[in-house]
Amino acid sequence: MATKEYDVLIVGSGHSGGMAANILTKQGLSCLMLNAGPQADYAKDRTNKAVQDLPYRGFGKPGALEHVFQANEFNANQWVDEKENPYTHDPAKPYNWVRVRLLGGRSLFWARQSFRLSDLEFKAAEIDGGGENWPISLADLAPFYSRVEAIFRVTGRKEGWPQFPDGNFIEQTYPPDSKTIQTFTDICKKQNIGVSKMRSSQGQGGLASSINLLIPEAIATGKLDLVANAIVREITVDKATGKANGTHFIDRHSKREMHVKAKVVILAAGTLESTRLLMNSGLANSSGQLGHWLHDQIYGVSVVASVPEAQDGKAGQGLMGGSAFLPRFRNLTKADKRNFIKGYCVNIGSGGSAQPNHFAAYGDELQAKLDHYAGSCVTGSIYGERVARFENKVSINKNILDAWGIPTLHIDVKDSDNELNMAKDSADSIEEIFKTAGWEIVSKTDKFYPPGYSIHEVGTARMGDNPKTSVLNKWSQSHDIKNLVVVDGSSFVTCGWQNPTMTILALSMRACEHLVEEMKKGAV
Amino acid sequence: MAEGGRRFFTVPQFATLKKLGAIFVPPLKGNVGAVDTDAPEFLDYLIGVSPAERQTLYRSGLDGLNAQARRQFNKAFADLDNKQADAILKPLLTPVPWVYDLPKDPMKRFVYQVHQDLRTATRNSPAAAAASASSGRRGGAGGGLYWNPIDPV
Repeated sequence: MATKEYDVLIVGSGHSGGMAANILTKQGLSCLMLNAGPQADYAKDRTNKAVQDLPYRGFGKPGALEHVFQANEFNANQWVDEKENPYTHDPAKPYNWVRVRLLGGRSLFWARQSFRLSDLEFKAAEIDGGGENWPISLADLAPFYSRVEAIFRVTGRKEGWPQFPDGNFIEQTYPPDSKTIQTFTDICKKQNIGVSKMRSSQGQGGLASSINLLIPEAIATGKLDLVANAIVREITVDKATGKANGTHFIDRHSKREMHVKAKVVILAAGTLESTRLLMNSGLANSSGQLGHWLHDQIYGVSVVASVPEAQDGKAGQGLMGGSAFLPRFRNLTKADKRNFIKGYCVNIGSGGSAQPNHFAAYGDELQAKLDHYAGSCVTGSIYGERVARFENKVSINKNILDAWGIPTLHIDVKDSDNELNMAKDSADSIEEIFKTAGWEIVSKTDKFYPPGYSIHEVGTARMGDNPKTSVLNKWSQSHDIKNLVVVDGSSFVTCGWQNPTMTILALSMRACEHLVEEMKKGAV
Repeated sequence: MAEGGRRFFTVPQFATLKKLGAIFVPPLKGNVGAVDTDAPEFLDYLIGVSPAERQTLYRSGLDGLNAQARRQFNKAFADLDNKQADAILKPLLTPVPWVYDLPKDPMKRFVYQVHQDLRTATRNSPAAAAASASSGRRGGAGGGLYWNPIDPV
């Protein structure tokens, strides 16, 4: 490895890096993939255990993973160790940076909700004046979405709604809606709110990850070398040409530093790790925009209602059960004036139960309430777009180093009134529908998790046509260094309410196919 | 196998915690209760190895309940009858629509937290699993795929 020069070096092995390896190796390019963590052995690394046999009875080790609300005692070892990999933030501005460094990254554990962005997002500035438009439209990305959806075997119901673009879906037969879902749908229709079904990647064998859908084909070409436990410290540049020519990386175990050479460097380490690497390398920031515009989505807002007919053990099949999905229904036109811009989606589930925290009761009294509401509840869970703002940013903290001596990130993000107003509107709107249905509100909150919780962080190396206001061009190449390409979520201009995975995959596919053409022409 | 004895809390604090276990999670509908499952003893261990903020919440909360019992009934919280304990606890109960937005009042926050913790420690205990198994009911809190440490440094 010390002397070989690869055509392309790929940093990261999640969805975006896996797609890059898949596309580029099939075009005959020699690729090296560096991944910061180990490769999990599912047979050796996982064991079936009863919760009572865990050391902390399921509470988890106290004080560990304080930023990872998704962590529990079963899955604690899959997340990045926050002591080895620290980051900082103002205590008054919490940020949950949720990381996985296993081969495959976060593609191993995502929820598989699979959506396209619409031109409401790509051309958002024209709709709401917030931020800037993407330099591409849905039409540019649609062919790539279709190919990604085929690989990931996305199921969904086609609707023909511009705010919820249809895709290349596997046809699915849905069972008849329960009476509860029918009632909910009828009320929404009267309010001109579209009700659909969840769109989801089926993948293969219950897994929709780079490690089973993308990387194996790349390895089969014989063109991919893969190195685990390789922590990239710095991108190196040829002083004569100004082009990227490789990276320094550190072996995770021995802490030995090595260098690898490549004609092109692709960053796919996840939004914040790729940004950290660019900043630590002092590259790609002639615009001064690198690290800014960090945003994700608000999670946590929810409303729970109980269907009176289903209370006291009468929650039979036909009455309860099933689900519905409401894509964005606010601010679809300029005429829809509210006290917030952007939008949110709602996931509806029927047939759940009330929880002990919903009641000011204990003992017999609490048990009676839990029995009363068991199986009778409908829950609306809301996910909304955070606005990308320049002042929400990351910077390098040279005073705090990770376990390999690499400077860490300081994250400085704060929500605005837009997020607060959107959350209130979303909780109020769902409560109103539930009340119209005659259901009893059990619980309602318009509070939401700190930024980062959604694990959908994007935007810190945004793309654009103007090199003075963006870090990447519309092909995900650095404006400053054309053979430096960033294919993860950092290129996003706006995130929308949608899970970003399909968009990240489509952008990576598009960027890599363009890169191949550029390399053939000798333009990179 | 049972939990070991008290290690972290003082004698009055632990007696208050045990009383809370008996009140909040009594044996109901054939299930075992908090006291049967050594849930207070487990929490004594868990809080003892927890960050200082959680330790303070618990210690202050337990001391606060004991002090209120002495003011209101001239005896320790652990010696209250259920009606007396209700008179202290019920005003401190608060519905929590969202578990990451806890009550700001420290006593209300503590009462919410200790209630939830006692429920979890009871449900996830070896004694609860054994009781479910012996009764032939599907039981305990179940389990899952546990990730071992993966190629640790």
